[in-house]
Amino acid sequence: MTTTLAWMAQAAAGEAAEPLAGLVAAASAGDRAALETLVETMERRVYTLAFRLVGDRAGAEDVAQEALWKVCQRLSQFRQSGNFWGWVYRIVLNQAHDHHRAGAREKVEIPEVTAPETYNPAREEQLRRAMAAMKVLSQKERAALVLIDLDGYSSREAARMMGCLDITARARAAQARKKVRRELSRYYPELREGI
Amino acid sequence: MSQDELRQLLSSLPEDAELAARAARARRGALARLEQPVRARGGWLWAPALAVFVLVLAAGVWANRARRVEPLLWSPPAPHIAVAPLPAPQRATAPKRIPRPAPRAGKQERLELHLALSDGTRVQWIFDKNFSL
Repeated sequence: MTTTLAWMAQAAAGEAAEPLAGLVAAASAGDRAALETLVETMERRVYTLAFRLVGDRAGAEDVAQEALWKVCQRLSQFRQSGNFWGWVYRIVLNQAHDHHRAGAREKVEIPEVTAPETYNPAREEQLRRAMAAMKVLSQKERAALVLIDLDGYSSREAARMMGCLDITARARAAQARKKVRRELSRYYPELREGI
Repeated sequence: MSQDELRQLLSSLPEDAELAARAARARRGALARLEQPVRARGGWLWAPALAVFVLVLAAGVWANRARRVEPLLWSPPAPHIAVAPLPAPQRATAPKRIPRPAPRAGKQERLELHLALSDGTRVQWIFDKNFSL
């Protein structure tokens, strides 16, 4: 607990070069409060990545939950010198892949309803179009596009997370970009120029 | 539409409040799952395995009993090779060859030879049994 408080104080002061390192170390050592804080720190980013990889809200929630659970379980296996987010992203990618493989066939698409006060039709339509365009991609292309174009990772980092060659990651991202442009050009004709 | 605008479009996410709520729910679910005792989590794995093991064991015991033959009341003596009272082997005598009577040649009294030459001449030779013409 003291470790967690110390880390939180350090993080609040903005002194930590690698903000999660202390928290990860404390959580690995069995500090429950540190683990909960760590998961709370990760939840949004993990859910966002899961949403972009899976493409639907409920599925992303399942993937995020499973991934967070696996992160907690395997925290002791994480090497402190390694890239924590890279490790977490790999877990989320694998989980999304499993989700896609297991549930894609029998899944029935149900339109999701958001709370009325936060419902923004224009935004929802944009989101729907983006997700529909992403659906034409294979799981690997989608992962490459999300990691390189949306999350801003270098192709080398993305390749390490996906477990492939640098050039493969770049090729997948380029292919994905092309497919998405073609798909979105139905709504945005100006995108045809880039195809 | 520029590359940045495309990226922005693809980066679309649900409303902030919804995203936060779902992320928090995922976190609570993960932590709750983490608190579950290991035995309960792994129950679905070992319970069927144990049931299958017990079934296989029971089937094995039953098959062993069904296959077993009741012991005989009287055990016959072990079989042995009997010694047959046979005479000592003797050298077999070769059977005598009976000469076959020579085939008798048919009596040839004479041989007649009739020839017709190209000029119409007819020749008739008759040999007697001594081949004298």
